[in-house]
Amino acid sequence: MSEFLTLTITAMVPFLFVAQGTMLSGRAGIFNVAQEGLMLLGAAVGYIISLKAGGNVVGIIAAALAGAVVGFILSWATTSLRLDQFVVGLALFFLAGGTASLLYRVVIGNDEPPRIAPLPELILGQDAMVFVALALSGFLWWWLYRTDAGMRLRSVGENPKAADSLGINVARTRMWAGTVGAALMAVGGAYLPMVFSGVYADGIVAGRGWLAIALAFFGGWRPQYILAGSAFFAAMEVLAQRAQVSGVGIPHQFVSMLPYIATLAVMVFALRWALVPQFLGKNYDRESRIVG
Amino acid sequence: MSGIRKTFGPVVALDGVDFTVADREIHGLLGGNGAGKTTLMNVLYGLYAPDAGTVSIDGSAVDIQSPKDAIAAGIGMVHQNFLQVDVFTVAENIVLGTDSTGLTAADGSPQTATQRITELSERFGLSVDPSARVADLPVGVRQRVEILKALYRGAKVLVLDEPTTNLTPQEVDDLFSSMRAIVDDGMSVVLITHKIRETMEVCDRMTVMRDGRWIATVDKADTTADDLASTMIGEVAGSDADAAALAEAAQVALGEEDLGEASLTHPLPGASEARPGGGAADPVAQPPARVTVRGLTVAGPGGKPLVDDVTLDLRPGEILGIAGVAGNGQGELAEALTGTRTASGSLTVDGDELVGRPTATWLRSGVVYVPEDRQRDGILPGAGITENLVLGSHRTRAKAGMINWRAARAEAVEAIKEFSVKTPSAATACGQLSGGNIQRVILARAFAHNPKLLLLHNPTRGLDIRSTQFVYDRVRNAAAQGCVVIVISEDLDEVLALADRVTVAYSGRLVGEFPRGEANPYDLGRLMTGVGA
Repeated sequence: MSEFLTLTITAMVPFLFVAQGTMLSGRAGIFNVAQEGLMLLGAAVGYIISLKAGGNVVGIIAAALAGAVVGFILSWATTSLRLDQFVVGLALFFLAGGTASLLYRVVIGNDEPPRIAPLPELILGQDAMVFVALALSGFLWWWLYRTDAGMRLRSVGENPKAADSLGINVARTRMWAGTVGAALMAVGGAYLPMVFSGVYADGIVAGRGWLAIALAFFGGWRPQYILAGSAFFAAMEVLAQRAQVSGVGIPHQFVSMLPYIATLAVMVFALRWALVPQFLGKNYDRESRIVG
Repeated sequence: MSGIRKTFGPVVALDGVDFTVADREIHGLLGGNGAGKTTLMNVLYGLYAPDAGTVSIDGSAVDIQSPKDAIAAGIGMVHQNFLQVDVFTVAENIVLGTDSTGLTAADGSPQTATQRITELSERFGLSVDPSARVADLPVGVRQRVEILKALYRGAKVLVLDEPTTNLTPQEVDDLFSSMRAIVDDGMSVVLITHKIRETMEVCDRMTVMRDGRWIATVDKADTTADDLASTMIGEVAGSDADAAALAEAAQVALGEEDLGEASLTHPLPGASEARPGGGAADPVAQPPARVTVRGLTVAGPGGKPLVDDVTLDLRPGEILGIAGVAGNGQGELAEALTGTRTASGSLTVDGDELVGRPTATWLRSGVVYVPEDRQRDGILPGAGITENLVLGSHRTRAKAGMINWRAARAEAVEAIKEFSVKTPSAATACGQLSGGNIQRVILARAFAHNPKLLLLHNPTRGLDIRSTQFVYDRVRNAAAQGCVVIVISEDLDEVLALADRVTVAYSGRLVGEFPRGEANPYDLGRLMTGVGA
């Protein structure tokens, strides 16, 4: 049982980074749907840089920067150019995923990939990133609900016109929220080769990016519930792996399905709880004469 | 502000407008819809960048690029559609964007913010609960929040855009006395409105705009409601009907200043005495009801019905007015009464039961609906006028599934002439027409169905005076021919001007009932807020 718990806590980490990043962008109104691609990019960059520049910390920072670049493109294209968020997000999913694959092939080629050193254990058999992820969730909660800047960010996602009329720079707020959010997503991806496999592979993310979007909805776009939800999602992931390996009497596909079912159930039955930012995915045009 | 020009694509919204507000005055900015009043103030508030012109405050030119600059320059604006974050509290909405260092800063700023809000609200008679969530508040209170937002930022000039929309007469009185208190405190107020009555009641000076141009600026002492009316309309439009419409508006306006009741008994132009069931007809000789509604109910979420047990008897030729503050189930009631929303109960037209039947049956039985949201519910914006006119009769006019477009086009051209739709051609996409012309198209289609029950929801919202008068004439005409008309409107003046009988929608039910001439705006106002129901 304690092994199950340990594995679950480890599995929570990528979910936390990616879903909190999704939440942060989303609360400002940027609906990023490129998580799967960003995680792949983060995994590839994190792996390659750790290997070549020597060190997991450098790898994680490099992955964050790579994610930030993609997030900045998304934010810029949807604020300055007012392109459709979903279309740009899908394009960036392919771009980021493709870039990850390309980088890996250019740098490593078809050789047997060398393994990178796993993240060292800190305490309780957990690595430092576990605590970073937990601290990040707590910080985001405090920042969003207890600070002026957090309130401004939330107002931009709820009613950008109101925020604009009060002198808040909607585009700038969205720009950095989208950038930081995407950086967090890439960090979530970089964690995968450093803990689970030691190497990069094109299938390494295995749908966790898409699940993270579901997790953001599941958690009602609130950091504290996303933290709780990530435990559930991670437990399902561990359970599904066990079902696959040892067989616990239920098909592993069934267990893998549960997070999606749970998210659907939340969306359907807990409408009041599953709050979604009013302007999630909607661009803001000050001079638009169509009432939003 | 001088020489302000603003274009949206090919449309010139403002054309060299000059506008000056003096210290400590309430300045009315008067004009019909599309006159450019709001656009001008949006330029002042930094929401629209002007193509030309300058803004100066206290004699020195200022460059306003964004609302931030405008706020810094001491300009506050209360928009018609409130700019509030629904899920935030009153205090959060007011403080948002100001330079406070977080709501729980060490110096105890939440207290100071709340204290400041409380102090402002007491000083100007704008009572609010700072900890309430704005989404839970009624419109009147949300408006106070908007005004407090501007005052909290130290506004010197406060712009109010059509602030009386959706307010009851009592709330309007309160608002006007708050405006007076604000001006007495050394600020200036700009009141954007299309209602002459309001400017005459509260303003010191007024500026009239038309078609994006400055027309006149006058002192209240030097003008009359009639003068303002003709200035608003302009000379080009000096037809008799327009003059009549404005005389009517002015009479209601002036009458209400003398507390109202007498003015409503004035004979109104276009209200035909020959109407079968209308007006003060002899109760003994009343013809039987043409439309009966029994216990019409629309279920809502959480067990509370959206439309609750509505029962009506409507005689041929009768115009029923339903007043009420927006959001009291009017939209659902309109849809239930026209068969476009599932409801229980009974509705008969000439004895035929219609509840539970498909909408095509309702339409064939003569139930015609002119919805509130013209763009969304009334037309296919991308389709031409001909296509839009064919809608609804597409089944009856088709032969073997084929529509005779040649005939349809000929009819459309006729309808465009009859309803004076301003359009380049019958093929022009409806969405490109102005609001008034869209409404004319919808009315043309409505009357092509030979209505027995015509329901109009906010039929003149956003229309200029000419189109408004056109709608009123058509409605009275239809009633004179025996059609039952229901007008649901949030504009109390409109209900009082048109209806033979007035009732009020409150919380999904119809409360109170007054025959023409006995409806007092203040009594209706009490019913609209649920007091004394």
